[in-house]
Order: sequence, then structure tokens, then C-alpha cells
Amino acid sequence: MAAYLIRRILILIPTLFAVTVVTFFALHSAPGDPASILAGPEASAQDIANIRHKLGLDQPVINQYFRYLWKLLHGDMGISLTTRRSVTSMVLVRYPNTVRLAFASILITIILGVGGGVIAAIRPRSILDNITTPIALVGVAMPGFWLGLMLMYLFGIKLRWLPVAGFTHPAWSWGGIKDIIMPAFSLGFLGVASVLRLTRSSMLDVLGKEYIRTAWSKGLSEWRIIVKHAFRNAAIPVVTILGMRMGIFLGGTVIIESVFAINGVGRMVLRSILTRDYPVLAASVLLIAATFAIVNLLVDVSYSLIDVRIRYD
Amino acid sequence: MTKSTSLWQLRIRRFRKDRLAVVSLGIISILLISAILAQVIAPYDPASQRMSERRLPPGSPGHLLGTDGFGRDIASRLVYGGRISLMVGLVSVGVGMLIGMTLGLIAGYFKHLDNLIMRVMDILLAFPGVLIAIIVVAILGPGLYNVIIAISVFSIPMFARLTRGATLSAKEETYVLAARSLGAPTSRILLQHILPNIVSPIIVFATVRIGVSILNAAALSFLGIGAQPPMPEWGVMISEGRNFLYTSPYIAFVPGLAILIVVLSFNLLGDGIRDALDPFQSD
Repeated sequence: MAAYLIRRILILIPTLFAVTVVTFFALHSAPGDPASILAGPEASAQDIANIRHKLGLDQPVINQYFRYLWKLLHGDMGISLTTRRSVTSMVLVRYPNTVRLAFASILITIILGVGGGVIAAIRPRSILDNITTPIALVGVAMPGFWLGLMLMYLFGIKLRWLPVAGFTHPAWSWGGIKDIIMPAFSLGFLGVASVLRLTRSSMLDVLGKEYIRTAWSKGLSEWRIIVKHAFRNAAIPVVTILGMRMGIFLGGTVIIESVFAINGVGRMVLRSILTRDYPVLAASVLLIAATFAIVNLLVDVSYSLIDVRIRYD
Repeated sequence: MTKSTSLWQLRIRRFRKDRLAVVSLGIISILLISAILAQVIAPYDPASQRMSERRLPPGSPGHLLGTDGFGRDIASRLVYGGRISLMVGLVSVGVGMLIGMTLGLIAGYFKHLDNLIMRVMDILLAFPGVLIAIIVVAILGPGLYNVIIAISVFSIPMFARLTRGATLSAKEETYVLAARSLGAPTSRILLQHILPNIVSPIIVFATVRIGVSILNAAALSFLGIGAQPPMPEWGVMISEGRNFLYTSPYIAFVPGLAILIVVLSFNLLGDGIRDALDPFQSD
């Protein structure tokens, strides 16, 4: 296991390296001169040239890339072209909010998708089983940002149960939980459908196996059979799709953070595009892609925890 | 004597039995017709503002779905918006499919290019999809056409992966061996022997992708980096309606519902086509 983990972490390095190459060179080819943006509209040609020299923008592009990479490895992601503050500090302040949103969304997906899927499988053709397919179909086709606005209207404006925008309370407080319910649901609901269908079919597969019949005939409780005998064996494909979902959610934070005015990395991505603040954009994209890569690693590692037959050595 | 049925007749019969898929095809056909005949169908010019008729609720005389914050007729904007969404969906998936399928065919057939192509695709897949679109928009600048390019780019790796897998297994089939031993040129083997045999899953995937692309384009426009106001794009309409959520929620509700129905129709149509093409599906 340790050897596998080390190997996987080593594979992570070239992936992240490729991500830095793509973001750096893609954004380098974008129009606009960072030095003149930083210098401001009234700067002289000499001022701009000085800034360009200071930032190393007069160097060949490949040198600029290695300079960027070197600074990145030292935790320096450059200076924002609009706020002139350190990008690293800007990103680090917002990152926890984005992670909080993504994890709350995956939690909603797990509770509704996995929970609903298990119940639908153990009670086939029940009312719950019958309503899951239409909900699943609608869930995949619904725009998350629209769902967010409609929830905002219903629960925020009409019923006044939940706050309409922003993370204004500490994460682990009742107010913090109320803050996150609507954003997490808007993002998570899209995933519920596919997870639910997969959990249901995977559970139905397993429930027909002989070892489940054996467990029944031993007189074990239904709960024990479902959780310990059936679900553990049905969980592998479910975990895979949850990992894939996490990537979609991380990308989706850009949209949902904007709907609910959450001060996260996703919203910063958007603002940096509109203001052409490339260092901030590069840092945000890199951070989201790196988080995605690490989540994928955790998913792979979790296989062996769920199914002890899977060994990587 | 029973009349013999061709494979296609069988498939069409199977498709017609799937009521949801037939209804979806109907909805998409209506969308297509209204997109072509938008000028005839839409009662008003989608951009004409009437300040005296602002925010009329649905069902108001002359405005079936009401008017928006600028007094523009929502139904007319919806019809023109359908034209944009359909165009975005078809073009971006068409381009993504064409490039992705070509790369997938090459990667699957030529072993020495496989690694190179698929590793590049893997790097693209290392980014969450929306992020790729955002990088492309950041380079090219906001706008509807750049969003179409962005969405095409992030569909490429998925089509490439799907096509490569299918090509890998098709190329081991005896009919390919037969064609090769008869001296058929590689281009003919790829286009006339392999492609027709692997095209069904690609078509099914493309149908579903049209819905996803419409959804993503609307999201980017909603964020302000896609189609720009006053264009009657559905995402733009929701974004504009957001400012009136307190007083007139229907301005945002109606276009969102339209997206939901259209995307759902493409998904159900995709499912229907898959079931109809599946040779193992019982009749």
C-alpha cells in the first residue's frame, strides 16, 4: 500500500506540471500587456519598461515559465494586476470557502444519491423507487444556477428560512450550516441523479448474490446485511462516480459562488477573466485543478479501504 | 408468408415504442421549426423595448409569457433564444465530435501515435470541464462565438476517448483484416470499414452532449462571459431576470424552464436512440 501511495503521488507531479504548462502558456498567449495594466493608464513608457523588467516580462517566454515555476514552488504566485496584492494571500483566503462548498455539495450527493439509491434497491417498485427515475432525469437536465435562483426565491425571499447570499457565519455554526444549504444543494443536486441510479443498480446486482442469501439464512439483521454485506460490495463504482462528480463540482463552484455571492476561488476566477487579471486566474485554475488531482488520488486509495481484496502492492 | 423487415425498420419500430423518446423528438422538432421560422412565429421583435409595458406578468393580453424588465416580450425572446441555443449545441458538438473522432480514430488505429494523442487528451481531462471553457474564453475574450469554441474544445477529449476505445476493438475484427489483405488503403479502412461500425455509440453520446453543451453555454452566458446582453440567449435572460427576482421571478423562471425541457429532451432522445440501436434489446 505504501509503495502504491508513493507511486501515485509521484504520478501526481507530472500531472500538476502539465497543468502549470497549459495554464501558463495558454494565458501567456492571451491579449493584453500585464506591465502596462500594472503601471496604470498614466504611466510613461519608461515606467512600463521598468515594470516589465522587474517582472521579468522582457525575458524569453521559456525563461518566464521557469521563473514562474520556481516562484510557484516557493509559494509565490505573483502580484494581482488589479489589487496589486500577493496572489497567494488572495487565493488562500478564498480557498477554504470553495472547499467548503464542494465538500458540502458532495455530502448532499452522498446523502440523497447513495441513501436514496440504497433505499430504492431494497424496496424495488416502492413509491420511492418509482419517483427516483423522473427526479434523476430532471436533475441531470436542470441548470444549477437556475435551480439556485429558484431556491433563493422560494426559501430566501418568500419563506425567509435561509439567507439569500454569502457565507457570513463561521462554518461550524447553525448560521454557517444555513448559509451553505442552498448553494450546496444547487451544486449537489445535479450529481444526485447519476449517483442514485448507479447505487441502485449496483446494490440490486449485489443483493441477488449468493452470499447475501447466506447472510439472510444465518438470521442476520436486515440493517447489518445491507450495510456490511451488500453496500460494501456495491460501493466501488459509486465511489468512482463520486470522485468524478467532485471534479464537476469544483468547476461548478465558479457558477454557484457567483449566484450566491460566495467569496471563493471560483468567483475570483470569474472576476479575473473580466478584468484580465492573469496571475490571479492562473493561480485559481491551478489550485482547482490540483485539488481535483488530489481528490482523484484519494478516490483510488479509498478503493482498497472499501474492498480489502484490492491490493496495490 | 411474413414480410421481412430490414434492420432499420426494426430499429425505427423499436424507437417508436419508446414514448418518452418520441415526445422528446417532437419537442426538438418544434424547437427546430421555431428556430428556423423565428421571424414568423415571434409576435414581437426580441430587442424592442416598451417602457410602458415593463414586467407584465405571464398571461397579460398580448404577452403570453409576460414582459421583462425592459418591456420586451419574453415569449419572443424565448423563440429567438431557442435559435441561439440550438445553434450553440449543434455547432459545438459537431466540431468537438469531428475533431475528437478524428483524433480517436488515429490514436486507436496507429499505435505509435496513440500515446501522444491520448496523453494530451488526459491533460485536458485533468481540468474540470467548465475550467477548460473558462481558460479558452479568457484567451479569446467573452462572447457567444468564443463560448462555442470553448465548449467544442472541452468535448474533444471525450469524443477522442470514446472513438479510440471503439476503434481499438474494431480494428481486430476480421472484416478489417480482410479489407487490409485486399490491399485497401488505410483511409478507406478507417472511413468505410471501421467508422460505420463504431458510429452508433458516438451518435448517442453526441445527442446527449448537445443537451450538456446548451446547459454549459447558458451557464457561461449567465456568468457574463458568453453571449452578451441584449442578445436573447436563455442564460442571458436568466441573468437579467435575476435583478427582478424579488418582484418578478417569472423573468428568470421561464428561460430556465425552457433550458430544462430542451436538455431533458436531448437526453431522452439519446437514451431512445441507444435502446433502438442496441442489438441486444428485446423487442
